[in-house]
Amino acid sequence: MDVLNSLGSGLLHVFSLGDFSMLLLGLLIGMAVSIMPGLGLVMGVVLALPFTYRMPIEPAIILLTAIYVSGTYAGCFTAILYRIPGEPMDVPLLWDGYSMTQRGEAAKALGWALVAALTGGLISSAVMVALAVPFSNAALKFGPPEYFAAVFFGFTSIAALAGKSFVNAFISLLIGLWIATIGVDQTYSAQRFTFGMPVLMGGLPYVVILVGMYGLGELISRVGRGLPKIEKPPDDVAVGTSFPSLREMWSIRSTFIRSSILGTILGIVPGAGATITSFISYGIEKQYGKRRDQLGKGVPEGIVAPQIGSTASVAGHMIPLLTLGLPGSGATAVILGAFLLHGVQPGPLLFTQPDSKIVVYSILASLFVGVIGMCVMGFVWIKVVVKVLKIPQPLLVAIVMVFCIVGAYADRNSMNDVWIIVVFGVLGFLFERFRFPIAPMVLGVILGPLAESSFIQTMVSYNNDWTIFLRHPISGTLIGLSIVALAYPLVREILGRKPKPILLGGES
Amino acid sequence: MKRTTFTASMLGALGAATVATPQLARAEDAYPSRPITLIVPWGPGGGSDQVGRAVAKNLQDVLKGTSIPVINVPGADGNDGMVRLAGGDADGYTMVIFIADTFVGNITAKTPPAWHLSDITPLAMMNTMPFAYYLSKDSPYKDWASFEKAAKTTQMRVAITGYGSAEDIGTKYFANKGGLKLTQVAFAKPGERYAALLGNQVEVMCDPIGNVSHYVESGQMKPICVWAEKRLGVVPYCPTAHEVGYKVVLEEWRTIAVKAGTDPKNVAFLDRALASAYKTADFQAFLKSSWSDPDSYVAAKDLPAFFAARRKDVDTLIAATH
Repeated sequence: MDVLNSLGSGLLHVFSLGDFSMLLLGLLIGMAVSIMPGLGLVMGVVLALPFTYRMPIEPAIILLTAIYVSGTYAGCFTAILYRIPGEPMDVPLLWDGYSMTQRGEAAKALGWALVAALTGGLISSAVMVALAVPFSNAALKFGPPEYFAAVFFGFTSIAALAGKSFVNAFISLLIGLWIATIGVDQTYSAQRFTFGMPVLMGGLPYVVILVGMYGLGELISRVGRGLPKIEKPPDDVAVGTSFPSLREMWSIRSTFIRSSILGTILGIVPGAGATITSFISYGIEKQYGKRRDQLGKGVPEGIVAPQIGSTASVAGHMIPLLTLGLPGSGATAVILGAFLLHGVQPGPLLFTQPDSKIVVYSILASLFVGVIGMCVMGFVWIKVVVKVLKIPQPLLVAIVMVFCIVGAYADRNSMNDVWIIVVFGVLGFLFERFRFPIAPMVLGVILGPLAESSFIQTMVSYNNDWTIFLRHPISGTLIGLSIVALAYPLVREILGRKPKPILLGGES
Repeated sequence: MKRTTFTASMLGALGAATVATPQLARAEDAYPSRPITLIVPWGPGGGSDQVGRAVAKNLQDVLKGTSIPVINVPGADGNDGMVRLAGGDADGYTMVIFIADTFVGNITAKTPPAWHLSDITPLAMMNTMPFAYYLSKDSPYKDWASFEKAAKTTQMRVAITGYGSAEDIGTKYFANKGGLKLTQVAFAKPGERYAALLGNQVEVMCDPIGNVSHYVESGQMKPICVWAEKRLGVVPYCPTAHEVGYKVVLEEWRTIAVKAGTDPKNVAFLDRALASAYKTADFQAFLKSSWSDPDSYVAAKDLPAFFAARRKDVDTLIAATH
């Protein structure tokens, strides 16, 4: 009951002027960035981050979370209507969605997507609220060995899941871990890789790294490729939404249930972002669905499964973030950054103190309101929203570029950070160019210090006995899972089975 | 015509402002003529940030018309912010919060940081609070005596902020003096440190008393020994280190400083302004709510002696552990 009470007070907070306006703004930004090809939802969250420096923590996190959640939805509009996937996660939607549009059932397809986003969002949010307290109670029992094992598991699963090449993902992760060591180390105050330069002594601020890799790097790549001519959406496509009947929904209930559970669970796994969840959800439908043979020819399951998957993964990702302070995806890494900028370390303590508890529950409540809000907006304003496509690309690139640079400067009011962002922008471009996934590196930078400090704390606390990682039940289990995650790609290689190609333009 | 009335009204406003300005600002003719920035070398939300913002707010009220923007420059245990001040102009328009952590770290650092104590001119001590040891509510020990007895035979883990910090050298002294088996475990982030104690990952924790006041009030943490000579009014039941036989006084203190070489007139001006800001009811209420020492204030002229004394204390502690 306590949970419902807290959620109720959280809900009241969400409807206060400050929080609610940020929620609406976040939903709009999320929709806009997820429709524009090349501006992903991670980019949206990254660009909004510098604007939250001066805000109180609650509206700040609500803004970013709203961008995150609506960013998993609006991309389906353009995918279904014009065959333009705004985000990589919308690619599976397009196979069935656009086929329906060609048959003149665009409105129906949009209706299915809306119902799916609503279902996935609400079910996974409910699961998240139900799990948050048990998770945080378990998290309080997490000592240094468990934290190290959890981060280690995060690293291995990120490497295993991110992109086509396991080796490249691993290299990317190690580069991130190396960058995390630059500066004065927090345990013994030793200088590492500083070359005596004052700029490097404080370490590299990960906010700047995030904005550089995800924001600036992406822009440089796009300018390098030549900006795509996005065809003006044809005006003869009728833009509207019509809901499927209850009977139709009932007939594919198993798809709804399967994808919701799958999306939430995959969300908890670090490294499985909305994109991967969307593809896996579609893949499962293709293997076990009732009408698997018709998938891809314009059946609703082909829209519902990936859409539920991507929206449900948001709430799934919020659980480890809020209870353990472990981000499992690019967007949650940025949200963690916002927490830390406000001097709040997400973790089990958030749930033990009244003033931080209300902040957490406001964030949880904002997800429910956000999911409903984005569906209402999508229904009412879809005509307006798809017009975002008409913004000229060069203008867009210039605006985003300015946001990136100003954002880098504003964090610590330092010109050094502007140079650092340029360096990481170029690095992000090179990563893209040589097919190295960015997500493992960024998570390496953010979680590296935690991995290191928890490892050293364990060694100090247990007199350098490394077997402690295997002897504690929780950490032992996680280390076991990590070994499985590491072995899986190798086994797959050995068996010579080509895995299903997972397109990863970006990781969300 | 319009223009003249505008100018006239502006002049009128200026005149009114001059009349309304207190004694304090009229003693100076030009300084301060623009905002004075206060650098907080720590992240937002922490203890030093709260003190910085409370000082800025009350200083603004005292100066009536000069705003005091606060900027956070976190990084490298407070050294980034100090370097920022040391690298700027000595014009009196940039101040910094200089605290015990940075001071002790500067003494114990293996590689000297990029700034030196002689680079700053301290203005006023605005806030002090002693360190203390805490047990969690489900600890098997109930007070210092029972903890001390057990620590002579069993290995105890002590959560501290980092090696070379005040908590670290103080704990080394305790271990040496009492023959206690203490292992310091470093948790750089306050949240990690508190979770480690509450989750019983460590047996005891060391932290400034004001930083954990709400945990103590709610009964989740119990102070068992405060590193001071006199008992604290806020936790009268908690014995001091001196009472239990350890001659250690270490407190978290926070001073305001400007760059060395600033015009002595401006230093004197800020010194007086900070003294008035310290006396405001609002700042006093802040000290009370943050469990700070009620007479934290030390004036600029006494600070060099204070630093020298603290330097000696730290050296003595370090010497006692070798």
